[in-house]
Amino acid sequence: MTDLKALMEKYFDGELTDEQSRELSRSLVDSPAARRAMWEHAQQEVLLEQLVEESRGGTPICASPLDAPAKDSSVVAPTQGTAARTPPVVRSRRLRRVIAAAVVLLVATMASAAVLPPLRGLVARWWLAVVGGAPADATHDFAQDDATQKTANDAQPDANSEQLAKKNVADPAKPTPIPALKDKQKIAHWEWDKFRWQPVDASLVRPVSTSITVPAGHRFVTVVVDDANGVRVRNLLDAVDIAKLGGKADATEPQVLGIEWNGLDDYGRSAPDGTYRIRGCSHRGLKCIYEYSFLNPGSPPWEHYKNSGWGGDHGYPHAIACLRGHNNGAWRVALGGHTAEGGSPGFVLGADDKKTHAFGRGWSGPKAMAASDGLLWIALGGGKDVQRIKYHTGGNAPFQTAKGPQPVLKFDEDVWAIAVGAEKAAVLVHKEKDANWKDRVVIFDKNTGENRVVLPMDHAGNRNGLAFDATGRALLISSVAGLFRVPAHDANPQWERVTPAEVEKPGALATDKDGNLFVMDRGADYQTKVFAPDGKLLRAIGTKGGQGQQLEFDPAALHCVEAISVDDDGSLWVAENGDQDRPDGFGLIRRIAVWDRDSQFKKDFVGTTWYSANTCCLHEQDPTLGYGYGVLYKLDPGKKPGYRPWRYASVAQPPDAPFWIWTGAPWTLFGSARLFRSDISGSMREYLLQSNGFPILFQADERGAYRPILAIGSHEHNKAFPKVKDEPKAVFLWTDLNADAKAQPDEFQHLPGSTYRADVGTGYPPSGELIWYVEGIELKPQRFTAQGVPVYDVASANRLPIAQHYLPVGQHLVTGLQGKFNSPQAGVYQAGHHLFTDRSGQTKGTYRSNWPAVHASWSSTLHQPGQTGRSVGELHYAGIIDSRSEVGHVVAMQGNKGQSFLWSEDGLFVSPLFKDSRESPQGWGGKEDFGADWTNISLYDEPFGGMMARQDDGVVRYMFGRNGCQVVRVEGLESVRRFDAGTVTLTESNPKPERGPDTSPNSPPDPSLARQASPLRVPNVRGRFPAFKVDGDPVEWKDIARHQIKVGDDVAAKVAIAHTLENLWLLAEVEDPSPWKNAGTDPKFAFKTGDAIDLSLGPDRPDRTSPVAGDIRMLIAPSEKGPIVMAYRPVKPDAKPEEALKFESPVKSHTFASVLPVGDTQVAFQTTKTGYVVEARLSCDHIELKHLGSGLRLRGDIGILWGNEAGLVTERRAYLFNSSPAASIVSDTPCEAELHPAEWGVWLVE
Amino acid sequence: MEQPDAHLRHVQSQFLQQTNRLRGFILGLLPDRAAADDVLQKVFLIVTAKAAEFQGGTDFLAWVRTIARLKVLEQRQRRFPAAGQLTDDAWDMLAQSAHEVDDLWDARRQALEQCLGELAPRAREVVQLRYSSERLSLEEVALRMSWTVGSVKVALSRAKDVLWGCVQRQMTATEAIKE
Repeated sequence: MTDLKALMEKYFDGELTDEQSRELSRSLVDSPAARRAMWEHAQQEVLLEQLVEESRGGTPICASPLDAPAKDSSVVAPTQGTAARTPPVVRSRRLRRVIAAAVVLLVATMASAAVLPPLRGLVARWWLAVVGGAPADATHDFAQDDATQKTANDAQPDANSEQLAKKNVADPAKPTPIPALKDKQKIAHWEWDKFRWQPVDASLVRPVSTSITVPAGHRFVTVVVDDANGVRVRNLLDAVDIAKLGGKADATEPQVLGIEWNGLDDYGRSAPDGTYRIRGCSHRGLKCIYEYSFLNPGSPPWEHYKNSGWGGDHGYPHAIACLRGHNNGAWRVALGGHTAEGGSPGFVLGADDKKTHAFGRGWSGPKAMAASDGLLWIALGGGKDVQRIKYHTGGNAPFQTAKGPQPVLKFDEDVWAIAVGAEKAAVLVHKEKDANWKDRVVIFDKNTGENRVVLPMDHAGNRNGLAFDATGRALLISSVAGLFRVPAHDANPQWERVTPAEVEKPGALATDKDGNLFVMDRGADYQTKVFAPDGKLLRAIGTKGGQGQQLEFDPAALHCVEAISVDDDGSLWVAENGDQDRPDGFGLIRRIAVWDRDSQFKKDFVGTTWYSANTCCLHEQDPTLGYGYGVLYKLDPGKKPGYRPWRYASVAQPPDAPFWIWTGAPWTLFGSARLFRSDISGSMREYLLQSNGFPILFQADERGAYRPILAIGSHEHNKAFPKVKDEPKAVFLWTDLNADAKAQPDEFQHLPGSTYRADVGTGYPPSGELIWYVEGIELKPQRFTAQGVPVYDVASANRLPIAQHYLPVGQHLVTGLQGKFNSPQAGVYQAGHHLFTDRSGQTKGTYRSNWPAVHASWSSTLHQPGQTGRSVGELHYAGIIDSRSEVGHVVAMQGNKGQSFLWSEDGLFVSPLFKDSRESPQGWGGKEDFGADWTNISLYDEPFGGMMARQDDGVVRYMFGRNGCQVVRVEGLESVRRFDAGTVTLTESNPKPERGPDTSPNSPPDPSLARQASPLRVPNVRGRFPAFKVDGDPVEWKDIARHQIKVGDDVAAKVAIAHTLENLWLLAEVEDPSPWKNAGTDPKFAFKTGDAIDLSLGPDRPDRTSPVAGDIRMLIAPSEKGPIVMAYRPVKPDAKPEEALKFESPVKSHTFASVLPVGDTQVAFQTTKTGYVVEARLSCDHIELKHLGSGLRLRGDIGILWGNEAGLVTERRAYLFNSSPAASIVSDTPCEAELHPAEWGVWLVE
Repeated sequence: MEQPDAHLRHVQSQFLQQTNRLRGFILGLLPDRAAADDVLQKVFLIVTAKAAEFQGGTDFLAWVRTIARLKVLEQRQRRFPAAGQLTDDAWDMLAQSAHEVDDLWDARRQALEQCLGELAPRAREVVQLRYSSERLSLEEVALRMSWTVGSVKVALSRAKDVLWGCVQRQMTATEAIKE
C-alpha cells in the first residue's frame, strides 16, 4: 500500500512516469480499495488547499443563502448580520469568480423576488470581498474606473465588477452578470509553412477583470483593449457568440458579461503598467438575403445542383452542336468550353433551354464538338482525345477498330474542329503559338477511326471551321486563305478553293438538315451567310457590320463568333467568345445567341464569368448597373434573367494608348474592378477603376466611353512608365493632363522612395475624392482640368509614417503589414496584421492576420475564443461602406475559406459574413429563391472576386460568385452598437500568475506524436455474436471502439474498424444533414461529387513521404446505380496502361498507376437522426493483403467526405489522422486525389 | 411546478453547495489544478445553461458529475498522448467510484484541521507554501525556505505522510465513538 500511496502522491503532483501510470492503472482496475484510496487522496488534496488558504487569511465565500445549512463545510450558510464564524475559502481566483458571480446571480434574482431582503446586503458584501475588495493583490483600480466611467457611454453604465455588484444589489432591475471566461490567449506561430497555436508565457499573465453590458437581443460581441493613447493593445473577443460567453442569444434584457484580460498584448507581450480602456461593439447578427444573379443563365444560376449553373468558370463554351432529330428532347444542344476548375465545361441543354446533362468535369473540357447519328463527338483530354458519347445516357460509344473497341482516338495536338459525314469523319489538328507548324486535317472512317488520311493546311486559323457538305462526302474547311473543299473519300485528296464571292473572310462553318451551308463571314459584314447546296446565297444572319465599335449593345448583331450550329428548326445557334474578332480593349461578351430560320434574333444567354467573378462588380451607387470584362449590364433584380448587356465600356484600344481596359484572360483572371461616380471634379462623372497589379482609373466621356485618366505603376508593370536606371521598380503617377489617352513624358510624376511590390488584384482604391495613398504618399487632387482629369503635386504631398498603400475608410486609413489588406508585402507563410490609422497615419489599432491568402489558409483552424485573429486567408479588400451605425464606416476583406470579414474603420472586428467552408455550411439551394436567407452559406474555397457596396437605394449588397455573380443584401449592420466599459489598471501589485506555463490543455498535441503513440487497433471479431454483417445496422459493433473525426471542436463522425482475418470491416457514423448523396456520374471522380468514406492503407514504412507499391486508397460512395467502391493505387508495378489516370489542374497534376472499380465489396447504409451510418466489408484481395494476421502493422487513415445537400460536389473532408492542410482542400482535383502516407497513422491488427 | 427562475436559482445554489465535492471529483480524474479549475468553470456554465434539464428530487451531484466527467474526458483527449495518464479502463472505473467517499468530506475536514495543528512548524510552513493559492513549485518553496529542493521534497512527503496517518486515525476514532 505504501507504494500505491507514493504513486498517488505522484499522480496528484503530476509526476507519474508512463511506467508508474500503468502500475497505478492496474491497481485501480484490480482493487476497489485502491480506487477508494484515490478518492480519499483527492478529497484530502482539496481540503488541504482550502485549510491552508484559510489559515493564511484567505477570502471567505458564502453558500447559497437559500439553502442552509450547507452540508459541505466549505460553504457555510450565513446567519443574519454576520459572516460565517469559520469562513470557508475557495482558493482559486478564477473559481472565486465563478462562484461569486453565481452568488450575485442568486442575489439579484432574490432581490427581484423580494425574498430574504436582509441577506442581500450580506451576500453583496461577500461578493465585494471575493471579486473586488479583499485581496491585497487587487486587480483593478476602481477609483480610476469610477472617474472614467462617468464619461463612458450612457447606455453602458456598468463598467466594472465592483460597480456592477453595487448596482445590481441596489437596483434589482439591473441585469445580472455572467462570469468571465478565462482569457486563454493563443498566438499564431509560423515556422515557414508549419502553423501552430502557441500558448502565451504564463509567467507574464496578469489577469484583470471587468464587465460589459450588452444590449438586449445582441448576440455577437467584440472587445478590445486600448492603451491610454487610444492605441490598440489587444483584440480580446472577435464577434464571439454571446452563448459561448455564457449569455443568451435571445435575451430580452441587457446582459452583463464578465470579461477577463490577461494583461498581454496581441503578441503575448506584457502590457506596461498603466490604464487601459476596454471597449468594443456588439450587434444582433448580420443577415445575407439572396437578391439576384447575373452572368450565368443557368437555373439556378449557380453550380452544384442538378441542371444548375451553365458552363465552367475558366472557359466559356466555344464549341456548339445541335443534335438533329431531338428538338423536343432533353438532349437538344450541346455546348463545350475547354477549361474549368468549377462548374462543368461541357453540358447539354434540353428543349426548355435548361441544362440537362454535364460532362467533362475537371480541368479539361471539350475543345471541339460535333453531333451525328445519335452520337456526340467531343475532343477531351486536353483536346487531343476524341471520343463519342451517346445521347441521353452520356455513355461512351467506342470506335470499332480491328484490335477491338477503342474508347478514344488519340491525336498528337489539339483538335480544333470535328466534322462527321456520311462515312467519314474529320478533325482539324492545330498547334498554337508555333509559326512553323502547319495545321492538319485528318480524315478517317467514322465508325472505326482507322484509315487516316492527313492533309496539311497552312494556318487554318479558324476554330470550328470544318464541315461536310450536303452529300456528306465532301469536306469543307475555312482558313485564312479562304474556303476550301476536298473529296473525303479520295485516297490522295487535293484542296479546291471554293470561297463564295459573298464571303470576305470565312470563319466557323455549319450545315442544316436541308444541306444548306452556313458560313460565318468575319469580314466587314460580320454576318453568318447561308448558301443553298447549289452555292446560291439564301440569306445573311445578324446586323450587317456586326456590333462593330458601337458602345450600345446590339443583341441582334454577332459578337466575336467562335462556333455555329443549326437545329432542326433551322435556327442558328452561335457561341460568342472569340478573341480573334475582338479588338484589344473592347469588351468581352460571353453569349449563346439564337436566330430563327427567318434570320430574326430570337434569344440569347449571357455568361459565365471567368474565374470566380474576377473583374466583375456592381456599381457602387447605382443599383441597376453591373460590370464584367468591359461590358456594362443593366440589372433588373428579382426577374429572370434579371440582367441584360447594356453597353461596352470602351471602344477598341488605340495603338498608342498604353493604358486600357483589360477584357481577356489572363488579365482578368485575378483582376478587380470598381464602378463609381463622383462630383469631386466639379461635375458628376462616372469612373471605372481597374486593377491587375497596378491601378488604372477611367472616366466616362460624353458618349459613355471610359477613357484612361490616371495610372500608378512601374516600368515593370507597363513599359509606358518611365524606366529609371538601376530602379526598374520605381513607381510613377500618370495623369492624362491633355486628355488624349496617350502617355506623354510630362504627364508622369515619380513617387520618390517607392518601389513596386507585388500587388495582384487589389489595386490602390481611392476614396470618392480621388485621394490615393501610395507607399505612404498622400495624393490629393490639387485641381481638375477642364476634362475632369485630377492634377496632383507629388512634391508637396504629405507622407505618412509607414510607407504602405492605404485604403481610406471613413475618417481612418487601413492597410496591412505582411497580411494583405492592400498590403503589397503579403507573406505566404507568415502572420501579419492589419493596420488602422487616423488620417495622419498614426496607428490606432492592429489586427492579427494569421493566414494571409490562399496557401496559408490551408493551415488555418476554425476560430476559437482566445485565438488572436479570426480572419482566414485574406484575398483582397471587397468594399467600404457607411454602416450607418455607431462604428462608422466598415471595410470588408474576402477570405479564402468561404467567408468575408468586416472591420470598423477604427479596427473593431465587426463580423464575418457567411460560413467557413469547413463549418457545415448551408447549401445555396437547388432553386433560385429570391429572398432566401443565405446567412449560413459558404462562398467555399478560393472565392476570388467579390465586392460590397451600399447603393443609392440604401441597401448594402455583397456580390460574389464562381461561374456567375450572385448578389445578397446584407442586413443588420445598422444594429451595431459601441460600448465603453471604462478602464482597468495594470500595476505592480497585479497578481502574479497562479501556475507555471500552460503546457498542454489547450494547445493541440503534435499530430505526428499522436500517430506514433496511439496505433489504431483493429480487433479480430471473427466468431463474435452477433456475427458481423453488412446491413447498415451497427448492432454488432457495440463493443468496438469508436474513433472520432473532428471538424474544429465538433465531432463530425465516428469510425470503427475490425477484421475477420480475410475481411476488413468498416463502420462510419457520420453527422450529415443531407445523408449519403453522391452524384457518382463518373466513379473515378467520386471524391469530387459528394459524400464518401475514404480509406487509405499501406505498408508500415514510416520513413517514406510518398506512396509506394501496396499503398491504396479505397473510396466508398453512393450513386444512383448503387454503391461505388473505387481503388486508387499510385504505384502498381503490374498495372495495365489503361488503368492509369492523370488528374490535372492549373496548380498541379497527379497520376495514379491504377484507378479501378472494386467489384465484390459489400456496402450498406442507413440514415440516422443526424446523418447516416455506413458499414462496409473489404476483402484482403481488395487491399492487397493475404490475410489480416495478428500483430500485423499497417499505415492508414480513414476520412469522411461531405457533399453539398444536392450531393453533386464535395465541400469538405476530414480524416482520423491526417490533419495537414492538404487534407482539407476541396478546390483542386489532383490535391484531392493524392495519397498522403506520411500523415497516416499506425494500424495494429489484433 | 417550480418557476424557471426559481429552478435556476435552486440549481445554482446546489452547485455552490457541491463545489468542493465537484472539484475533488475533477481533480481526481484530472490531476492538474489549473486545468481542473477550467473544467469547473465550464461545468458551471453548462449547469446554468442546462438547468432546466435537471429534475428536482434527483441526485444533483450525480447529474453534475456526469457533465464534469464529459468535460474532463474532452480535456483528457485533447492532452493525449501525455505522460502519466491513467489507462482508459482505470480512468473509467475510477470515475464510477467517486461517490464512495461522498460522506467523508465533513469528517475529513475536521480531522485534517486538527492534524495540521499537530505538524511541526517547519513542516507546516512547507505544506502551506505548497498548498497555498500560489501553488509554489518545489523550487520556489526551496528558495523561500533556503532549503534544497531535495529537502523540500522529503519534508513535504513526510508531512503528508503524517497528515494522512493522522487523519486516518482521527476518522477511525470518530467512527468508533459514533458506534
